[in-house]
Amino acid sequence: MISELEMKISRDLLILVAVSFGLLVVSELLAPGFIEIDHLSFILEITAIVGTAALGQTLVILTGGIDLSVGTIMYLMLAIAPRLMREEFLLPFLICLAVGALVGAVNGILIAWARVPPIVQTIATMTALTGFIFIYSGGVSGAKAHPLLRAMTVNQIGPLHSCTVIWIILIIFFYIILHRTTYGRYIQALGSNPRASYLSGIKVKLTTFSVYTLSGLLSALAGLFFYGYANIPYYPSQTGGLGIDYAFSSITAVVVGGTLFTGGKGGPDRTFFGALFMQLLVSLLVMLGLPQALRLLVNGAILLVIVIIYKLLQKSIKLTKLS
Amino acid sequence: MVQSKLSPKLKKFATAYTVYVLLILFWIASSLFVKNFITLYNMVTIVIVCTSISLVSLGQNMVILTGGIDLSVGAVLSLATALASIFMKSDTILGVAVALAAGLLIGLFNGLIVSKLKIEPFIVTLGSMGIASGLALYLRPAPGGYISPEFINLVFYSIKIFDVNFPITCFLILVLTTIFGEIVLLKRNLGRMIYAVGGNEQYARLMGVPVDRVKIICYCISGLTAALAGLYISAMTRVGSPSVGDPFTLYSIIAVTLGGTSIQGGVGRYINTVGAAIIVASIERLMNQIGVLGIMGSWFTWIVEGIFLVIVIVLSMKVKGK
Amino acid sequence: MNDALSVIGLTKTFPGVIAVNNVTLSFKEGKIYGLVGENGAGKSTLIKLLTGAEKPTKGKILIKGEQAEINSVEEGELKYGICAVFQDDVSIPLLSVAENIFLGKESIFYKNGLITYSLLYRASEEVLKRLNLRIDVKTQMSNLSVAERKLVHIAKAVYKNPKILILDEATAPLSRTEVERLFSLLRELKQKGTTIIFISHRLREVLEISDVVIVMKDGKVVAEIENVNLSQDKVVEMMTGTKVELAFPKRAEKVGNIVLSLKGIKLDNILNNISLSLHEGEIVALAGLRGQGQEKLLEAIFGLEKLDGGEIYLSGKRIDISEPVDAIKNGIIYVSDKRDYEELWPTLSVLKNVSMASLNKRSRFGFIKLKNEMKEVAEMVDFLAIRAPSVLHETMYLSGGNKQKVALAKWLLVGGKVMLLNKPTDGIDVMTKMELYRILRDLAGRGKSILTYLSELPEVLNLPDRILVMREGAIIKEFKGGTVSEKELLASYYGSV
Repeated sequence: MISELEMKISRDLLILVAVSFGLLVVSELLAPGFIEIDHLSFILEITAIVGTAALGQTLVILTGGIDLSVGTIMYLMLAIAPRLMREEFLLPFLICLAVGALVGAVNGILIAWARVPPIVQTIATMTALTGFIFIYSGGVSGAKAHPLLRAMTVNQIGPLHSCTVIWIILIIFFYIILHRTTYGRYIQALGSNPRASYLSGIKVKLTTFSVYTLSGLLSALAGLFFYGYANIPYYPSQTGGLGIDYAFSSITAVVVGGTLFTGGKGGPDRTFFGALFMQLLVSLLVMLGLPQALRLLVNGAILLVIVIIYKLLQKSIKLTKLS
Repeated sequence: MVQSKLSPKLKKFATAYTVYVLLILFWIASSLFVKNFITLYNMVTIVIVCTSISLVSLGQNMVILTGGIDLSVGAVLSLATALASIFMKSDTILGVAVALAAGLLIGLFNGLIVSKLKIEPFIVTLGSMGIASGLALYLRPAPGGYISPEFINLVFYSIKIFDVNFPITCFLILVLTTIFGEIVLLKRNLGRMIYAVGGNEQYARLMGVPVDRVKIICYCISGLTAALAGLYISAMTRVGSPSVGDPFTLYSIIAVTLGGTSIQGGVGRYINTVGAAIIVASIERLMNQIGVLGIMGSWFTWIVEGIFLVIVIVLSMKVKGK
Repeated sequence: MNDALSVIGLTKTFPGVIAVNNVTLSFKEGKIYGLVGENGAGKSTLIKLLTGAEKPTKGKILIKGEQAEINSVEEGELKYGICAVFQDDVSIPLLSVAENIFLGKESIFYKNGLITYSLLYRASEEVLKRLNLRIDVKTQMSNLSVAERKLVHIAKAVYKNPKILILDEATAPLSRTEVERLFSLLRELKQKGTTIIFISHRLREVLEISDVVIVMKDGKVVAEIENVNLSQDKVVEMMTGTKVELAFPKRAEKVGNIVLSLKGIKLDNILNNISLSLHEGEIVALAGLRGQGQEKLLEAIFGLEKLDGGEIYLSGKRIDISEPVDAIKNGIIYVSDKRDYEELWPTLSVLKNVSMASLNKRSRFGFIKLKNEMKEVAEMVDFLAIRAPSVLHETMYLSGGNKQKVALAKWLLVGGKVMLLNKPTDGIDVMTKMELYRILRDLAGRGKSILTYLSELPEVLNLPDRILVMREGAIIKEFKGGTVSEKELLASYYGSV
């Protein structure tokens, strides 16, 4: 019962999937064994880490905002989890998630009630947290990951790693929330027109608050996955605000997936493909032996190319619809 | 309280230059906290740091005033240092020229894609940031290269005043940049059009403002000032470096917004951005002086800055009355 | 003698639509042309072609017999003397009035390469003198009223001494006095040889000022006649191609009990001790000159403004409304006049738009019952005759009239007993207006109570059961619908009855 045009909108998703397939093929040709189950599963494992943070970012971007603190929250987990998760697992695990949610909540409160612009607020959080992390952990690596955390991340369920499964479940969960629930509609409404949303009785402040809290929560989970995967926490020597590269990666995944800053299109499913595509790209570049410098360059260039293609597609669809 | 006793003129002055009021309060508080804060040596250090931030923030300020943002400035800065460190071997002027050309080109690229293809500035400059970073890293994988001594001496030409080396050129650069920024934004056609585009782009266009051209110019200036800052930093560090510019992207955004420029554009003055840059530099200096050092340098700075930022923004929101 | 402006075979196509279709017209010096037509008839596009905001697909534009190629609004103004006042309030709110007037041209005031603001301000005051405007040119544009801003735009256009002056819906925010002042200025300009093109939905004004009336329909010019013995009915007939009576639906025979009651409503110096009551099945119109508090009153009842005093009673019970959510809970809904900004979600489908305010009614545990939604929305689309390719189309592609219907549909699904409507027919073509009047009367007949601000005299005279004339934030006169003449009503606006 979807109109013809609805199907055309997904043209950009088809392109993304097609190019992803292309990447897979090229990768397989260059390094036979790339598309073996184990390796693909490994790729999905890594994707799940940023992907979980990107999921929270998706919700935030759908409401017309942005969250630059996701990476910093991930590193915050690296700071506090080793200390909390000594013997016990479950309670510390929940506490870590709660801390992430709390940071997100602070963002949410200031953005929703004090009207601080999201970019400013999340940058402030990022700088504040960076300082905190270095005081708290002194930049020194902590203990190895708790075995249960390892299990939750790395162990396999069938062909997939646990973190991938959890990620996919979350994607499906939020997809349903976004498209089938009133809350999801309100998120879409916020991104499309916050003023009209307010006048129509939607609780704008509360909804805004909630997406940043969720983003914080999901970033925390992503950070724990990171810890579980890497086993030993470490911090890059970074002066520009810890975790900003992960923040940018999450945003890239969302944008490449086709979710728009202006609302109305996109969602968790798109981010899944966006994150996967970026990871496949990175893997291919690593396999081609490109040094980090060129990988950075290609990453940036591809992001631009994709976004430009989407924009041109959007223009041609708009012209059709106006007729 | 105190405010009601202030004359309206003073109040108006204070609201327009809130940053400077905060700056003075900060300096007073710091000098109470630490014995020798207001010294010539400290002021000199603050000026040196502040100049780099102010340079980058000039372009960023213009871009943000049009309602956009430039995430690539840090990367362009790094790229400029890298290019300078390579080309100055042949000729100093060539090194300067190549660095500036790179900044201009990247700015032009950003401006064209943002204005002609109408893609969000955040995303466009995110992409060009990657390209510029990659280039910088490729050209200069590790800090090194050659920055000509003549250049360094020119930029950091100092004279001794009361036993302290006072960098005249630095100071001059700071002052000239501030004057330039204020003049362009307030006293030139271009400046008025920048505010118009940020105020309401659609209407500005209908009123005959060449919106696309204005945006392209702003991104070009942003690239240029980032490159200039890069040259300045390369003189300071005496090497080219692939990632020295990274923190400057955030610094510039913080300085611009802390200085009262709205992230949506259309409101804000560059002189306040400079004031914010001075505050940031002052905080750094204070932390260094207290001796609060960490692995990454002045990590405590981050906390203070972060809280500072939020407080100021919240206060300014209250003043504007939503 | 050559015409001041003529177009031959002018055509503009967008993919799939012919906005202006083979239009041939000639405009002489010193004459006023009234351009009318339904929304979508092509008027705005034609203007865009004449001013240089768009380029024609086919055809020629001739200025004084010579072919002209107008590449931008700038060029149109400077080279050919074509100045327009657009429908939208095209200004930069945070810049001063002076800066808005001379935006882009500040280099005229350069002294040593820097703008001299004293010169700028003086020049701006000169500009405003043309319309006898006493406005502080240093103040921000946002501090002016809508009418003042429009007058600034008109003054700006007139100051440029255009050969061809185009006014697109320029009188919308103006009071009757201001319109009369404008018209006398236009007649002055006419004497001096300016060609004036006046576009408006207000047929009465068009007939008052124009020498020639041009009617457009579906991109074509269907009539170009001298304004002699023309009646509004005749013009509407030409616009729509059918003999249409500007007939309003019949009023209510009787009304029910009091549903909404306001006592002593106070807001700053905008609303001054307002008391009124609204009955079941009744349509009550707030009337009067613009900006007398009508809109603010509606917004205040809905919770968009914090009242300084007064009480609101719903069916006798006192209620407190501090936010739209409260009002909606109490069955009071508000349809804003700013459709795109305050009512619709442009990137979302018609379906989502219509059901957005009432999602709780068709959801269980937060999950939306999609089938119910589709059904209810489809019914509403039918009821209101909303024309869209499908309910899955984004609302940004709809025409003004249909957008208004979507907004109305959205609120109708919410239910509620009291409907507050702010200029519901603003900028909507005549046919859709008539539809809306019938719909509103139908809703009242089903028991809804409607309190609406109507800005156009014909509406006020013919639609509501009661008319409340407001002036300076107070209700100064009440009329029973159908018992007051146009002259008397207008006089009451000025407080002289």
